[in-house]
Amino acid sequence: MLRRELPTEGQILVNGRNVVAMPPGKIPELRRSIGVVFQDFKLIRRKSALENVAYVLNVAGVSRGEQKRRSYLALKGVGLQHRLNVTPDVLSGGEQQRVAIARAVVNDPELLLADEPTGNLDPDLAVEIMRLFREINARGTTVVVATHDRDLIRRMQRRTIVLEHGRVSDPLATA
Amino acid sequence: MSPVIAHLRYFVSDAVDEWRHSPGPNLLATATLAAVMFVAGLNLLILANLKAHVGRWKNDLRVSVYLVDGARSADVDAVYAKVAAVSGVARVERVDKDEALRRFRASFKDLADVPSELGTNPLPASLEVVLDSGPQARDTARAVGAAVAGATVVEEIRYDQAFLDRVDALLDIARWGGASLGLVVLTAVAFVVSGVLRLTVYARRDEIDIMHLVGAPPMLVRGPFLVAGVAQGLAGGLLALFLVETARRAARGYAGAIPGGLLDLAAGSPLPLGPSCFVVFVGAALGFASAWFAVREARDIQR
Repeated sequence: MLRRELPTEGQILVNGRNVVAMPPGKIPELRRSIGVVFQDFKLIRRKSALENVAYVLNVAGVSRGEQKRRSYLALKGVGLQHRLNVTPDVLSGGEQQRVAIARAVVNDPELLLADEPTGNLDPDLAVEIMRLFREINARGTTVVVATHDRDLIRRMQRRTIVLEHGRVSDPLATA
Repeated sequence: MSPVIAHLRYFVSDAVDEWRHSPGPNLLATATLAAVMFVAGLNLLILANLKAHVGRWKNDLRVSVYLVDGARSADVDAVYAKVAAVSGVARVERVDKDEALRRFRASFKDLADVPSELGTNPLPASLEVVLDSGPQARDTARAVGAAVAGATVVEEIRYDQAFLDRVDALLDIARWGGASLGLVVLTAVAFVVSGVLRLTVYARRDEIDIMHLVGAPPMLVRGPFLVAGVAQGLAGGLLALFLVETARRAARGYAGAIPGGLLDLAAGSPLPLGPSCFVVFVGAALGFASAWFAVREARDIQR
């Protein structure tokens, strides 16, 4: 969906746009419209939490003042308003993932992709992160979570699409 | 603030941040650029000094009007008057055969005995014509030649214009040949420096990947690297200028400032402003080109 890999056949529609046929020059624009959270957080190590979140807004051409304001609000939204100026190295895994979530939502994307967002977290933190996703979803953002954690899926009670060997095996199943 | 200014500001701040976090590769790239520009600067210093000397010599032309042996005094006076009347002639000096011999012996001490061995003074009397200094000296020399042309007491007229023109032409060849060779060397160096800069890009590959994932356009990813490359080139160029001047002063201090000596000819004066700017500009361009080659890697990191 982020156009990191291309399918061998078929098409991938995101907000009505076929990302498979998308010219390379349009990919950054697609990615700016999607918030992404990764299992390994993918934070820039030399930048502070605030700068990591603000980077997305910088890319989008938002003014510096507005970058700071919105980044602060996003970090406040995930409970990290007291950790603005620390680099990822001194943050715990849960805090790093919350920074990544703040970064993913700071630009108010219509779609948020989370690729194994709780894979590196202990169960309590995983529940905390999923609670954040639920809140984000409640504000109108579509949240797509890819996970192997069946217990988590059961607890979330949301629409589930099961993939087996790269194929949708049960599109309507709920765990 | 316009988006362009905002992006430039971001490029600069990110490049500074990068220098702070990874000084090693940045210093290595700067040192490599400085070394190359130092060699280029030394060549320019020597060429500029030689050119300046040749230019001065061309502006300070002297014309020697050699007289036939046994020329009558009245005829010599007539030639003297014609030469002195030429516009641009500062003064005319009579050199008789004895004075010519004295000057020969003073200039060529090893050959001082030759005239005695010949049993006669073979050197002719002459009129030494000193011209007003300046770029018009060449035309004045021609006018002196025209003024005495056909005079029966004039054996030969000599001035060093042709020789100086040849030296000047040789310097031009050296300059253009050096520039061509320099271009080849600089291109090769651009690849070497880009190899060093690739270390920086490689060290930041995860970061670049993240930038691409959050939708950073290629220019925003490459911008800080390009700015860092230009900064390295500028720093390398300025460092090279400093080293060239330090080397020049050290050489003069070691060998002593002998007017007309080889060192005075090649490095008597500091590198002029034009070539100095050239060194810094080429350094910056080389840094930019090296960074451009290096960040092509960043494009490959995009997935």
